[in-house]
Amino acid sequence: MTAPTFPSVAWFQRLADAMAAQPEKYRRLGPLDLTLIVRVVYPDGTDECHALEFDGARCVAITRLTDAAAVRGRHPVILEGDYAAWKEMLESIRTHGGADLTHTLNYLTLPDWPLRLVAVNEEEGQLDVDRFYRYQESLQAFFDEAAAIQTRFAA
Amino acid sequence: MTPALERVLDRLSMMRAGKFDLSWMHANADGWGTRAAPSANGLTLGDINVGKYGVIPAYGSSHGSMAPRGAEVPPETPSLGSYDVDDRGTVWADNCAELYEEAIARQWSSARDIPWNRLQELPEDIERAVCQLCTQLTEVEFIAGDLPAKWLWRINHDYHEVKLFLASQIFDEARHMDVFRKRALANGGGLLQASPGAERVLRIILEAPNYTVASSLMHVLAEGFVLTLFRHGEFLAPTEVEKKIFRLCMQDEARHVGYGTLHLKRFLQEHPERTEEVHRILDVGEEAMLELALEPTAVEPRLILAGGGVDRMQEGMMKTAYLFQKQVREYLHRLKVAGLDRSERCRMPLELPQ
Repeated sequence: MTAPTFPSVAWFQRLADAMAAQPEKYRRLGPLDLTLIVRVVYPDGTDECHALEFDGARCVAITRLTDAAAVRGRHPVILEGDYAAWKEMLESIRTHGGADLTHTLNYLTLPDWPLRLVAVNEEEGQLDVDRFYRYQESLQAFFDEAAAIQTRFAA
Repeated sequence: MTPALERVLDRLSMMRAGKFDLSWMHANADGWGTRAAPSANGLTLGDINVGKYGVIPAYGSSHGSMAPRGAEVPPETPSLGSYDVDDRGTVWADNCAELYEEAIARQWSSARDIPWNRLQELPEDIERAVCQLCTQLTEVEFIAGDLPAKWLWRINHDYHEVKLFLASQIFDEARHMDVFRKRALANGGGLLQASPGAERVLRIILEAPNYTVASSLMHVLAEGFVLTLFRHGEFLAPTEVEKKIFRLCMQDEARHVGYGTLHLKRFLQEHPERTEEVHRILDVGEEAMLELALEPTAVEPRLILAGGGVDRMQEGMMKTAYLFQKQVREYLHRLKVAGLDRSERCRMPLELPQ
């Protein structure tokens, strides 16, 4: 199988497939109701956004967006950062079989650097961000699936 | 023989004679024929809120019993005399059914799910800092068990979703109390010093005059701060063991904050005339929280962990100052979501003075 490129619909689909293949693991971790918009910012300032729609114990849709504001899913939250930060996180996951102590989603987002959470919906914004905290174990497990994926990097 | 016993024996005789009542089979005619369908997460409390069963009354039933919402209640049903918190606006949150299901699905065990065998010997100052942090968390966490328990038995049974969510919260807090106590006692250290400042905050919460102001203090202010502290705890954690503890506790705490925020929103929508009541209790609570946040037993362990040792606490101050800003910012944002603007009134500084 060809190694998918990060970021791309195909790459995120591999994570979603891994999630779908382990329903008991994700059912035990707990259900999700969240649209996570992964925004990768390239060194030249351009960016790429993918919306991952989580419902129950599955990632049910992956869409490439023209920009982060184009999202239409439920409870949208943007998880954004420079390309280098994403690459470092994924390489750490690949090396260690899962995020090491300094590359968990919470570790990387808490100081708002190198990754950052941004609410989309002004009215419910903080509650949507709080969902990211509520589903932390599931989301970490989802990204840790990258340990088993041969990844090509876009830059 | 008592009259009650006589009645029971009479009934038994009739049943032996083949005379059964069976009137219950025709009770609640407009509630019969319900066929709730499961959603993606199975058959949830939200899924069964259909037809008359899904009507959340503005005021709880006056019969004062534990009869389930939507059942037929015989007129002779006795009142239990305790369910006087019966105004929807004072307890309800639109997410309580969802949060209850989520809590049940995300239960974990501090004995089974924490990799205790991977604890490592730590430098003494780091172990002492971890143990002091755990001492304080053991001390404060069960306020979020005691406080809901204080009000739970008074909440009308028509709001069973709220009662179930609060029951799940009490169990969450039991686990938090146990896991931090376990960590303090598991790696060559032990419990260190209790906190007078924490007790002052706890008293303000416990003595709050009604459920909603108590909830505003506990779910939105205190647990909001603890949620960020748990996030920070994972950031500061010296080993995988503490990291896992904080991450699991963080998930639980975020549910409690989610309930508190949407409860406050509902309360302010239904009782806008009581906005000042909430402001006043938060005036008091914020000052007490600030005092607690800067108490040596609370802040110094975090400075040690953030800096990487007792000789590097100044470095830790930079990182902790940022965390404080984030706590206040997120707290004010949650209040804004609830419909309460405290940006001009907040008693806590948005930034700690350098």
